This record gives sequence, structure tokens and C-alpha cells, in this order.
Amino acid sequence: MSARRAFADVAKDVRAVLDAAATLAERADEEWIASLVESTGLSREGVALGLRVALEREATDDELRLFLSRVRPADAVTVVLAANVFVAAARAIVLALAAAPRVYVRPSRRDPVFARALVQALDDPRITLVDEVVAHGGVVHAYGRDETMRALADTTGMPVWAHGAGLGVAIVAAEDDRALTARALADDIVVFDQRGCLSPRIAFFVGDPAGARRLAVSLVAELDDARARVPPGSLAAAEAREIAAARDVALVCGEVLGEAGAMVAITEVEQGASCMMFPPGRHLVLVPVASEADLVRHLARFGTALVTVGSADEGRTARLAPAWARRARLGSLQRPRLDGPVDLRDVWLLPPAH
Amino acid sequence: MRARAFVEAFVAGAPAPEAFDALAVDLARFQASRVPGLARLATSRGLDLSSVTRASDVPAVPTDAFKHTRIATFPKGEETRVFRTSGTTMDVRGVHAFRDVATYDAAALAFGKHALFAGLTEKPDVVVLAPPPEEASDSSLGHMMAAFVAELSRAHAHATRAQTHFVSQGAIAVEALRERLTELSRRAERPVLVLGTSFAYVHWLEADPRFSCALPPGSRLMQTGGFKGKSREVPAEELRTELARAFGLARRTIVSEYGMTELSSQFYEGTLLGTEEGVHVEPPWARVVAVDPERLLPVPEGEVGLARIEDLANVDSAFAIQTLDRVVRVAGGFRLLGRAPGAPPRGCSIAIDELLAGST
Repeated sequence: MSARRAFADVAKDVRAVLDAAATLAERADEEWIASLVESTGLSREGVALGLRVALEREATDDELRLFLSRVRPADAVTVVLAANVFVAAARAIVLALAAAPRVYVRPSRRDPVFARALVQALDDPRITLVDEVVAHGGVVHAYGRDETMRALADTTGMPVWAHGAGLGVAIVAAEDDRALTARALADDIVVFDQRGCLSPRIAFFVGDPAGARRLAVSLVAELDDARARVPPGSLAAAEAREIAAARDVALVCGEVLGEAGAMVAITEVEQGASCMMFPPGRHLVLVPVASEADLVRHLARFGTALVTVGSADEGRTARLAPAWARRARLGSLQRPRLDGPVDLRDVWLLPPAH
Repeated sequence: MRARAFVEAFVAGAPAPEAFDALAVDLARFQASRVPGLARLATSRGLDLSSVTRASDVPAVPTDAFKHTRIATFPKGEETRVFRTSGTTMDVRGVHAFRDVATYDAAALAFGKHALFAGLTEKPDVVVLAPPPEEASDSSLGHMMAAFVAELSRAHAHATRAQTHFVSQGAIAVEALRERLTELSRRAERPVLVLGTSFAYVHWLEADPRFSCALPPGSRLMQTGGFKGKSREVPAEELRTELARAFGLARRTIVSEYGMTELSSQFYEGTLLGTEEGVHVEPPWARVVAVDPERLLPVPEGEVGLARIEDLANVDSAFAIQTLDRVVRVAGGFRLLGRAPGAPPRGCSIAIDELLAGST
């Protein structure tokens, strides 16, 4: 196994990747954007928003020290990327470069455009684009579905750093400014049409149901405004069906505001029951809870599926979020600091021989 | 009482006491008056239930809703039984509460006797590859099987002393089952009814792969349920062939049951009634309608759709249930084609199924 790399070398690599990614974003021409639209399923404006909001641009030395401490050195890393959160390729590549002297990048088959362009722009002999994952003496950094990553560990015989599926949760207090909260929630929801594991899918409102409903009304208005600025991407027929079915579930569970493109469901969840959730899109389930103690019980049910927790108050977030979850301010959930992987759960899947 | 009258008429061989649609819409109105979510569902479709006249117009409740909210027409605390869907690691389970299981029991027994006991001239011995009810008190399947056992045990008192259930604490009593089947085959006094879940049969076949017996004439076997990760998945054809070999049964005497916790009625393959293999039949108080997945409207016979199940015995919950099971209507009944695949996942945002399965 390789030794941990020197901070200065890693910092140089990170900044080279960020610069290359920023240059790609700035010089994006119509043809390239069109290919991103096709491969991601996002709208043209959605692609531009992802590049503007979620593509990492900078990192402080403190963040990079933390970043380096979270990387496990290896002889080589194969990065296996998932579809749709297309800018994730940048952080994935810097994580791999920080870990190993040789990096193989296998872009998502459905969404290869950004990752390919970034590797080509870097023109770094240590980084090779590959179509297949080939076993080597190192490890795999994989992003995507749990079953895919388990299969990678089984078939390649390599340990897999598994960045699996997950979700974001927002916490809102009754005393929070309603308009600001609604705007911030909408900002976090719209990026990538909720296809990333940082996207808030459920918000808990610590307060009475009437307050939750007022927030829902404001949020629907914000989502409608956002739709005018950043139209949602395309939906496959099956995705549209699942959203329609979830709407029916939400109606049975509570009140649904908004239209098919952007819905907010207000559902009270009885003790022992689970929160419903919409499929990714631009929808939120808003759950009023009587106290923070109730909220903690709800959060516990998500277990390690919880990737990020956001609220308007850092103290509140720190107090309530589980240890492994990223903590963020509402409105910034999609801009996590470059202090490690987006997903801090640090799950390693070992091949069967281990 | 009106739902029970359907069952009683069926048992008596009499015509249905009233039109299916008439009771269906009355039931839907009653349920919507007690369950606000059902009223919201109707309103969202622009439906005024007071003017609806056809069962098919009643909006169906997705089965997932039972996982997230209580769907019952009566106050909490009045339930006498609560059935739950099988558990997950997050322990998120669908819940179906019953104020009274008399209609459930009457319906289960009436149609079970019709489709599963068909042609029996004497009551059979029963062997169950499932836990006894005291180990699975919230299982609707366990409850139904227990009702069958109780009904059949009344015929011969000695049977109640013999072991009936051969699964306990998650394990199959392989030796005891082998002995019991061997004894019943050797004695050949009465037919045998074997009840079990598909995954229990698979586990048993793997645990005792060379066992075979020849159950007495008239014996039959009911298999139900999917695999849900509880065993290796075995194609239905292959499982039927293996079960026929192991028990010495004709293929047509292996009867698949289709039911779910969210319902109060069950459906059976009609092979003992003369249908082809794979064709399930319905009791007169329940219907399986194939609907198109987009608009949830019925599709013509022969076209594949999702199963919308209308169940008049679901008196105190929801008359119409929307499932994700693919079905096709054919002459005499419907064929089950498996669960509809979900949308291919995109990105790393977790899907509700993954979350409920606790797969992270």
C-alpha cells in the first residue's frame, strides 16, 4: 500500500483538478452543454445550475488537511462513477489522486460526458479513462447503487470505498424566517432535480402543523418560481408513474400542495410509522413534529441512509444530526466543503475472500 | 353485514344478494367519511363519491400507503387484530387493522374451500410449512392458515394431537416433517393438504433435496408469496416441478395463492376447478382489474396492466387497492406476471424501496 501523500502535493493536485473543472465550466459551448443535457436528463438551465452551484471551485488549506486525513492510501484507485450528479467526477478524481499514484476513471455509462471531458482536460499521465473495471492491486472508489458496489467488490476482488445512495434532510424551527427558509429549501431541491444524495427529500418542522402548512405554501411558490428560471429535466415514463403513485400515497397520508412538477406534502407521522418520500424530482415531504426529541426519533429511523442534514442554525444542526451526516446550512446543502468525500459514511465493502 | 351476505350467498350457492357496484360505492362513501385520506384521494381526482355509481370509479389506495399511515374507519384502540406486512431491517411494515375478523375469516374459509378443497370428499390432514400463529400473530397468512387448520381439525380429533406446523423460530423441522410426510403417505387414510410459503418450500427442498413421498390420492398443496430475499429465487415452473416430485403430486394439485396483508380476500390458481396452470380465480366479492400504469384505467382482456384489487371484504379499510403487481386478464381469471420494475435509478438519491429495505 502506498504511503500517505504529502499535503503540498495533494493540494497541488486538488487545485489542478478544480482549475480544469472550472475552465471546462467557463468554456462550455453549446454543443457540450447539449451533450450534458442529453446524458444527464437535466434541462439546459439545470446543467448550468449544477456547474454554477455544485462544482467545487476552491478549498482552504484546513479543508484540504481534513480531506487528506479522510483518504486511505492505495497503490491504485479505480473510480466508478454514477449517473447524473455529473460534477461529482471532480471530487471523485481528487479523492483518488490523493489516495494513489495511479487512477483509472470509469465514467457512468449513461452519463459519461463531464467525467470524460475532465480527464481529457487534465491530460495527466497518472489518470486513465477506462471502459471496464479491471482488477489491480489497489482499491475501487465507487459511486452509485448499493447492489452495484457490492457486485464490484465480489467480481473484482478489490476493496470498494462505497459511496452509496442516500438522502438529505432539512430541519426547520417554527421561529425560522419562513421566506428565507422556503427560498433556501427550494435552492437545495432544484439542483440536479433531487438526484443527488445531498438533496433534501424530507423536512421536519419543529412546531405546529399550521406553521408547517404556511411554510409549504411558501415553498410551493418558490419552487414554481424556480421552475420558470430553471425548468426541470425530462422524466422517463416510469419515473412519472412513480411520482404520480407517490402523490396518491401522500394524499392518503396528508395534504399535498402544488402540481405534479413540484409538490409539497404535509404529513404527520404517527409514532412507529415511517415517513413517506417522493421519488427524486422537485418534491418535499414536510413533517411537523412536536419537539426536537420527536425529531431525533424520526432521524434515527433513516439510519445511515442519511447523508446530510441542513438547517438555518449551525448549533441546531450539530445538536441533532447523526455523527456520520454532513451538516450544512439550508441553501448550501449542494455545496459541501471540499474536506473529504461528499458522503462521510466511510463504508468499505470487502471482497468475499476477506 | 352486506359484505358477509356475499360470502354467505356464495357458500349457499345462491346468487349475489346485490350488485357488486352498489355495495362498492356505498363502502367507498362510508370509508371516505371516516378516513380523511380516502376523501382527499377522491377529491384530487375531481370525484364526488356521492354521485359515483361504478366500483371502477373509486380511487384505489396504493399499497405503500399502508406503510405510512393508518387506514381504518374506526378509532384506535378498537382493533381486535392487526396484520402487518413482512418486516424489513428498518422495521417499516404495512399495517392493516381490523375491528372484527369475522368477515375476513368467513371469506377466507369460503373461497379456500371452493378453490383449494375442491373435490375433496373427506377433510384432509394438514401440514403447514409456516410458523404457528402464536409465533406470527400479526401475519395475515398465518391467520388464514390457522383458520384452515382449525376448520379441518374439527373433523378428526386425533389430528389435533399431531404436529401441524413445521417451521418454528425461523427454522424448518426437517426431520419431523420427513417423518410426518412419510407416515401420512404410508397410512394413506386421508388426503393431505400442504400449506406453505414459496421460500419455505425452497429452504426445505434445499435442506432435504432427495426426499420424496407419495401423498395419498386427493392430496394438494398451496404455495404462496414471493421470496423477498428470504431464500434463493426459484422460477415458478421449476418450483412446481420440484414440489410435484417431492410430494408425489400431480402438477394441477399444486395451487398458488395470491393475497396480501392489505386485503381481506384471497385468490387461487384455479387448477382444481379446471383452469389452466397460472390462471387465478376470484371470489364474487373481489375483483382483480388490470389497469394501465399511467392513467390507472382498465385495459382490455389480454393486455398487461397493474393489478387494481377491489375487495368488498375490506370493510373497515379501503375497498380498492392499487398494487405494483403486473397481471393480465384471461378467460376465467387472471395471470400474475410479477412485480412491475421500478424506474431505473439515476444518481445517488435513495429510492424509497431501498430506504425501506434498509439496504445502505
